Amino acid sequence: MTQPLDNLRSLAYFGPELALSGAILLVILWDLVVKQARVAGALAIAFAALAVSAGLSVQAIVSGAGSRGLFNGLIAFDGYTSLFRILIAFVTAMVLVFSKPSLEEKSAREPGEFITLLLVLTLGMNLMAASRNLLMIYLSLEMVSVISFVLAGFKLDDAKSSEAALKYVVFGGVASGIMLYGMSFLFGVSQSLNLSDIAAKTAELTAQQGKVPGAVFVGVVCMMAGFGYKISAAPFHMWTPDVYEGAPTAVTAFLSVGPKAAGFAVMMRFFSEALGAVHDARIAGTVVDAAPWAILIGCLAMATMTIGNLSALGQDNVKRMLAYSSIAHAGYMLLGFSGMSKVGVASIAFYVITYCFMNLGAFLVVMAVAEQNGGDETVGAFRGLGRRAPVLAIVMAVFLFSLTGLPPMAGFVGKFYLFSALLETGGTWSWTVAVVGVLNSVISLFYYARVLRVMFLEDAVATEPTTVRPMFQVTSLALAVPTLVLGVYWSPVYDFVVRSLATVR
Amino acid sequence: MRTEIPVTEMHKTKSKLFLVLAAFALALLFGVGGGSALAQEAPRPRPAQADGGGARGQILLTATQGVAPVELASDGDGFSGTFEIRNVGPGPLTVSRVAVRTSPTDLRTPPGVSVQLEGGGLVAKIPPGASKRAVVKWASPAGGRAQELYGHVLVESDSVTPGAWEPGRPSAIGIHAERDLGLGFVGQHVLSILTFLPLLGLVAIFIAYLRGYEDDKKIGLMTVGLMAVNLALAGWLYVKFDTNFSKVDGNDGYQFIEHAVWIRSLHVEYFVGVDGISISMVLLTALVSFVGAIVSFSVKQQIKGYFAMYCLLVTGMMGVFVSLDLFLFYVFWEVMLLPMYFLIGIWGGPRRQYAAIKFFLYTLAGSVFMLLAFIWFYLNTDPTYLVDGQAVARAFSITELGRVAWAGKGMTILGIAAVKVIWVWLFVGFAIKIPMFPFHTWLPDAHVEAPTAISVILAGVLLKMGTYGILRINFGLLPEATQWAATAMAAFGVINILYGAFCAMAQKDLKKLVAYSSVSHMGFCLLAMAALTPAGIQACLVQMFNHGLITSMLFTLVGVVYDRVHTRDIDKFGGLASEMPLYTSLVGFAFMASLGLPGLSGFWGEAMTFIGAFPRFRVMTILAATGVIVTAAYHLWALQRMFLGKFREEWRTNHYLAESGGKFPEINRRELISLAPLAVLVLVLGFWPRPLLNLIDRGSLELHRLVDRPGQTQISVTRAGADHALARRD
Repeated sequence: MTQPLDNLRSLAYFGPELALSGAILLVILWDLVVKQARVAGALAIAFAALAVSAGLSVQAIVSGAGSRGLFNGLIAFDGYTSLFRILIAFVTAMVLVFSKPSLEEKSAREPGEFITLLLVLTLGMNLMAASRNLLMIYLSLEMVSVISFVLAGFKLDDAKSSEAALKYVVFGGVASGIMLYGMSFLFGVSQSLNLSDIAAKTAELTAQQGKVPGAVFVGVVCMMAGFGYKISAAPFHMWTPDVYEGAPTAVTAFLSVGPKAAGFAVMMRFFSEALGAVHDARIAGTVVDAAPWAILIGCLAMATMTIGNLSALGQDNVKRMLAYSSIAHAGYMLLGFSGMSKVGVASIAFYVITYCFMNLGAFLVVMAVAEQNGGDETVGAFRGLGRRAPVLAIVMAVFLFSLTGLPPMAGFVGKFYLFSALLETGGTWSWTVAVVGVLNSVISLFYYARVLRVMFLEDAVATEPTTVRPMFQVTSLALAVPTLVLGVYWSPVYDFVVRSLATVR
Repeated sequence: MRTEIPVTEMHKTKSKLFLVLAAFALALLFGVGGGSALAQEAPRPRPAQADGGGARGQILLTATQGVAPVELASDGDGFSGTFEIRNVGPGPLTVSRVAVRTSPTDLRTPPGVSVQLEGGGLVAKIPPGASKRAVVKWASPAGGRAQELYGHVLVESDSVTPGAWEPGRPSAIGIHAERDLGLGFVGQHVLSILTFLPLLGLVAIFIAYLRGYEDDKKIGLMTVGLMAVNLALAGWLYVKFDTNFSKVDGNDGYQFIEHAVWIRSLHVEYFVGVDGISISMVLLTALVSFVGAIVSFSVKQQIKGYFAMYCLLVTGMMGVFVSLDLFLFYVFWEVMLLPMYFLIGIWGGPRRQYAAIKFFLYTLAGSVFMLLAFIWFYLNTDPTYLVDGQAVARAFSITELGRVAWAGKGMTILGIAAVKVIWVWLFVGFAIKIPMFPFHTWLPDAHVEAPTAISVILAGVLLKMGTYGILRINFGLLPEATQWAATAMAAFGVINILYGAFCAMAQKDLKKLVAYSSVSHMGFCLLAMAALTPAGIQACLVQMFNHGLITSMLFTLVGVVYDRVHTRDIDKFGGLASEMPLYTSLVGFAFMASLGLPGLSGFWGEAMTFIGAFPRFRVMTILAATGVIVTAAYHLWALQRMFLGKFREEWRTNHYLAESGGKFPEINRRELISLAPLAVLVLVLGFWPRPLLNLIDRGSLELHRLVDRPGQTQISVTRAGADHALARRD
């Protein structure tokens, strides 16, 4: 890697974040000054900033720009960051589209603020994906967390929303406290906040002692509290169902994909750069026994998906069920990482892409259905949807099958790569995790199929067609098409992921 | 790198919003598209590194016309085509050998394929930047059976390693030639058309729905039409299928191959073809799905949705039988699940929801382990080439996986010999489908609740996927483990036969009786294949085909009486023979075929099972034979209770029969049309099974050779031999 750039020269590579920062200020200004087309204008600014952020990142990957350390090594500029930036921009844009109708209502509360907060969140997530310094990791994580608290409680008059926000704050505070504590161990060991310095020191100590030093292990375990909280992995998942259920659905959709992706990005970078734990698959298989990380992640993966899936079984509220399902999916992704291989990183990045389509889509359908049924989000609201709104129901079926991981949907391909990455490292441990993983897939079918059942199999109370807002129809179709297409032909996307990851470090 | 802050982008109108959105989408598209365009160039030349003693050449193989595989064109009595060997490196390139990828023990290509450099010779020196043309010829002698050619030409050179694969491995380019079989394009893609034509029906129905098309009857007719086209194509396939074609004739013994790269980075190929194992199943699927489409006219609600799902189901089934790539196989295997869930769940009987989810969960539980097994195959296979010649470290192709000595790799999973674990996982996945005791409990539920046509498909085709999968994948890829497990398989087969028969005897519901008879009859398949003898494997295939015909008839017939009085309770009937004589005779015919009366096709499967299995499993075969008696008993008893004796007068006042004045209406024309092809085949194959046996002869013999090593006596080989082989190789 080349020498890190100084602050001024770094700015040239900081375009996406600068664009977002500019847009944040602009939206605030716009909201204050302009009276006509307030929402539309603010949205336009937001979309423009996201387009710049994504566009610059695409350009960086396509042009094969090498990796650089920015701001004296605080954050990274590489294909890995760019890939996640594109994804995050896409998710934010989708969520803005979702929330457009509710923002344009007369009763909407401060639409400008909502958009601003969302953009700040995006900026935070971009920084998360790019951090290569403990301080930056902590700051960006907190930036995302604090804004998420506010967004979760955005429905002021809704007690549930406020409760969700409070729970989020309490859990978030605890998790980040533990994480800071863990960082202090790592700092104590290596006398540096820089990930590469920590890696060098850890490697040196590991070589001396023949095993990973206890202080480093404790530090990493504590840091997993912070990461686990962001990706909602067990046992730091407690906040998820309540927050997801209480928050406005658009925000829930966002929280279930965006911060999770960013959380995985920062976690994988941490393991790769601070612990040097990520190898090529064949080598990873042989070093699994030497380092406890594969075991640690594997245990988290198994616990997360099992708890997520089993808890989802009993849920009656579809939003809450999808919350548990998103916990389970965090487990699947961790499973891909527990092989500690580069292929695993690629498989997770690819899975996040497929997951973003299917999960956003599922939440969108929940939004549409709830709107038709006076805010009812229970399974009962879906009764007879196959008769009342067939297109919406079919689209939902596509999303649910994809979440289950059945071909020919994108979710299957994503899951295939995850399992394949895990098994590539081989060994008893990998096979154990894999067996637990596939059993979980079967369990998950049961609760997804429950929604299918009420939509198609049960007789409807009312069979007259309902009108669904065209925006919902179009957007859900727009998400379902890639879910299907990526299940049949995904090479361009996967190749793009691999290509962008080739420049890591 | 540009760093623009969008200060200038303060737009006030709404229309600009969409412009920005469009730009955003374009940016994304451009990125993905641009990335893919670059990633698609395979193999991509890389700059050669300076290599100690000076610059070396780098090889790049390209077809002279079009893209790889090289298409050989017909020139009078043979085929020929050319490709270029380019040197894209800085130094000279020495080509030391150009050869067709074949060997005396492993003929990959049909005989008569040769290659040489233009101007003669097999050796050449190519300066940097230059290229040399090579000519591939397929003389295709009169004795050659192959109608098509898929293969590779290997080029050995001193090139620097041009890709990620290990040094010393020759470069390759795929070659392909195709004789005209008649029907032109359709003939060359007949398997794809068989598979995806129904999918076209799904699309058509969806469009009809979106456009608010009301005439549901036409939708049904269109589906029947598509199935009829499929049946006609299957008939053509039967005529053109070369029954004597085997591995020595090239192409690994497959015919009607279509082979192309699907997902390059994952080495997944679109690879379909048929051989003696699958051809009978393809024909059966085409026939039963045609019959099923006619039977489907008894469905009265949500007809568009029904036929859409039906079409998707047929695509899934056909795809399973023609796929020769594990990934493709798995996709089709699961694709078939989705419509089945809805078909049972929406159009089924009173307990349909329970039956649908039970079917779904059972099958998925089996198939996820299958998926793990497939991933294991993929990750541990030997290096090979994709169809266009790209060298790959891994593959999903069943033909390539079949060449790997899996047992010899000595791998373990969770501490147990990997081949055994994988074999068991695959077997459980397939056994659930068969269904094998103790995984059979989904079947009676699914059958009883499913609408008639779906029961027909379920029993007629779906169950065969289980046995087909075992033959194709368990037997074909893991022969040593198959020997290790043969006895257990046979034992489960016998349990299936007896348990299924006794359960059938206890049933009051006619449909449940037929369902359990399926469990019993599929047991014969298990026992027969477990014998590993040629007669055994043949018996398994014969039984699969005949059971498909007979059980389809039975379910159709059950549907006939159910449509009339909405009950299937055997004890409520009696003396129906006097009311519906034609129907009764058809039921009698089907029952006789099902219990194995000589002269009807059901006999051959059972008889051959005993012939095939007796040399190896004496006691078990005798036990199985007693099952035949029970089989006869429950069939005849049911026949007697329903059709003989005195007609019950209380039916005269049954409100379902009010329309026909208290009389049971005789079987109608549509029902007869759906039954006729099955009945004719059952009769013809009963007296003259040769056409069917011809089809499967070669396939079963080759499979037998693979799983049952020759030279040893048929009786003593199994346990000792298998244990020895596994113990040595672990």
